[in-house]
Amino acid sequence: MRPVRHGLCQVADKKGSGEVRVALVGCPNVGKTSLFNALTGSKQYVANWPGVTVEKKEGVFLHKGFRISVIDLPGTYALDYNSLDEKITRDYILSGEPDLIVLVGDSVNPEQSLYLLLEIVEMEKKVILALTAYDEAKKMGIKIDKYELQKHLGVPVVLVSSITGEGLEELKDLIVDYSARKGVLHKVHLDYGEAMEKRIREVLNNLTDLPIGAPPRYFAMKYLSGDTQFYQEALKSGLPELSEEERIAFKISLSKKKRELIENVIKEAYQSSEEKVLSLSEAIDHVLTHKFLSFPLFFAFMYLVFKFTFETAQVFSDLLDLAFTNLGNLLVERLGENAISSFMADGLISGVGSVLTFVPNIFFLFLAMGFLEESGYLPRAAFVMDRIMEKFKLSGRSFMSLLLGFGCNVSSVMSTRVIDDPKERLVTILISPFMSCSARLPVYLLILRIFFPHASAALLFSLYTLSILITLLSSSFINWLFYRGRSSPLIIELPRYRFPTFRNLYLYTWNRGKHFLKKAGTIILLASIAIWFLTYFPGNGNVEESFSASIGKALTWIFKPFDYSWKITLSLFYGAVAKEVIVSSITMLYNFDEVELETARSVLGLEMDPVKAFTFLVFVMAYIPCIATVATIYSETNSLKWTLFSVLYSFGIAYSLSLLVYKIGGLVVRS
Amino acid sequence: MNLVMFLLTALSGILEFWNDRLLGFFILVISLVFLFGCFEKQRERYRAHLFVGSVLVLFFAGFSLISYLVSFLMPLLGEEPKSLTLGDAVLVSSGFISILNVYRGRRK
Ligand SMILES: Nc1nc2c(ncn2[C@@H]2O[C@H](COP(=O)(O)OP(=O)(O)OP(=O)(O)O)[C@@H](O)[C@H]2O)c(=O)[nH]1
Ligand SMILES: [Mg+2]
Repeated sequence: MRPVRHGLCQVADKKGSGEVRVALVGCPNVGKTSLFNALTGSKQYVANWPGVTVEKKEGVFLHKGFRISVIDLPGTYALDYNSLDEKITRDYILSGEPDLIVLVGDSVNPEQSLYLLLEIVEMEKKVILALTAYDEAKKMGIKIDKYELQKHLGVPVVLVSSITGEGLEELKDLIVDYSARKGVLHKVHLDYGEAMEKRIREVLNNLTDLPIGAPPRYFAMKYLSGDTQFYQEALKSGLPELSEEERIAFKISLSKKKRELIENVIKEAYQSSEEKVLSLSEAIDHVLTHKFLSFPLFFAFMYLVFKFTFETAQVFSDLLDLAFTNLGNLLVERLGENAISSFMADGLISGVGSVLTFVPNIFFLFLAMGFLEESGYLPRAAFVMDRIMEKFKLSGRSFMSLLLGFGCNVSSVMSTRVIDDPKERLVTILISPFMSCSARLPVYLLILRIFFPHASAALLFSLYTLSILITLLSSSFINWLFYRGRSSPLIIELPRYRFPTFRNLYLYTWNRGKHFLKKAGTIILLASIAIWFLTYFPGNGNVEESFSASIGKALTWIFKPFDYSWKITLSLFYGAVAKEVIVSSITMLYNFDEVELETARSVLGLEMDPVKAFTFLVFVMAYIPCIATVATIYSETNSLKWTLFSVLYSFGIAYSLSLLVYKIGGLVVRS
Repeated sequence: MNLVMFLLTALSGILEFWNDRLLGFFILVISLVFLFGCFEKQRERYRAHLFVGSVLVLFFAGFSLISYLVSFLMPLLGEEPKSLTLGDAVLVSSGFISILNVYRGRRK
């Protein structure tokens, strides 16, 4: 038996079973999702910048015969009714759906978390304070007296670390015990002083009916401070209007009192070893956001990511490629040349295998991105780039979303939810598909290796640069077209630097990479099978007489100015499903193995010269977002108009840009 | 110490420049971190430059070490493995000094 640690909850060991719903609430980036993962064993997206979680997620764990479902919410700094996150969280808490709330706070900087806690305490909900990242606090020599915290705040307190697992069992016990109790532990009554208390009492006396869920005192205070939701409700139920000055003054005094209390509590409960002049994070920031150094250093990081993804990973890619090619040849050797062996070798292995070949590149890319996100550098990069982004009517916050687009455009579109300004958010959503996502990488690598074996790194670099340029210019353009507005200033909390743990990096890379593998096993596999059928029949292997040929030839007029063959046209058409499919279709339509660059060059070379090949890549870089991205754009903007705009606009840009490249390239080569 | 590190990284940057322009250029950028560090009056800041610069050197040195190790797989593809250049050697050795710097910096 473990000793009773807190003395507050004594219903422990009540054997039984039941369901408990627990909501994790807290400021952004304090570690809610990490705690959620640690409790439920899930593998949700964790990263070191505020605003990672954008959707409610649910998970379950069993403890002492209870089935406990945990709900991870997006972070909020306050529970007013001003932003979407705040609305969702507050409504959810007040709805009474969760039996218990775990307020996740940061052990190192608890101020804002405690503020949030006091709000919830006033809502008279059952709440447990879990101060997380306790491992870091200990490392910094901060001592936290949790009994002191419990005494002042009147709620059970646990110190936990999602990394080391410390305190997790205690938290689980506490959840079970507390939820089994009837009613709130203590009705904590913050005393706001005679004048304010009198006002509250007056309101309470006049109050007749209450909106569901809100306790009277809380309601009265919200009314007096002019809360957007409750003030209107109060007027409806017959309370008098208040002058704006009065509301604001009340609100300010409320928060001032709370801050005073928090300051006191921290003074009592916190003990840190002697103050340092410059903390480690501040020291690092001094250099990384240095007046002269910040900018070149950002590019140095990008360069390293780039090198790592393409050069180091390439060896592994080549090895895989070799393996797949041999496998295909072996199959044909064993089974002979027939429909089945062709299906296996040309359909499955060259369709899916050609894409799988790039798994090392993509995993390395995600590993590097994981490092950027987990270390806490990403928001700094946003800061550094803010001034440049302003020229394009964006803020550094959009830049953060855009940078995520190098991994996948879907995640960058999703991450725009935290952009407060709706216009800026929309513009960011519309331009983010231009960021060259990891799915386009296989296409670049395939074509560049065939046509530009000696200049592939430089050209790859130029493709990426081009993609960034188009993204930024598009922002100016779309802004000019619709808004002619200004960009909003960047307000972002800079998280502490962390050295990414091996486990976190592994989880991040694996989660992202898994998505790619899943895609290869589903969409790309299906597409490959479909393409194989369309290409094998009815000509029984003769590509020129296949269905594909008919479709392709019917579409060639689109690319008349580029003089693309029907096979190239068709690969672009199939590639609308997912960009990787372009690689599958090219290898299938031309029937070559990547490893034999010479054959590939001679086959493709009949229809493409280097200029055409590069034009093709420029087109691939910019043309319509893949189906998943289009679907996300639709669900995030909730507008068919903007979704269509995004598709047509990117197609238009891709078309005109590659035409330009084609003409210029033609001139340069001919002269 | 900043000065020593500056000289070392600048040297390896210049040496790398012959093989790989961009790599050399960015190592020179890193050496600037130390250079600016030399002029910091405040002790904490002086150390900050040393610390961050050393971490960055570690990244670059680690990278060149990894790509060197990975290139041992090249014979499987029928290609020659890379050879370690003089620039790499200087880079890796400044990486070793960096480990010390980082270790000392973390404890303070
Ligand atoms: N050392 C340490 N780091 C932690 C701990 N918990 C979380 N972190 C780190 O804190 C950062 C933020 O964690 P998340 O779990 O994504 O935070 P969140 O509260 O879900 O953030 P949002 O979804 O943006 O609101 C990540 O870098 C985590 O690795 C902990 O207990 N110890
Ligand atoms: Mg989260």
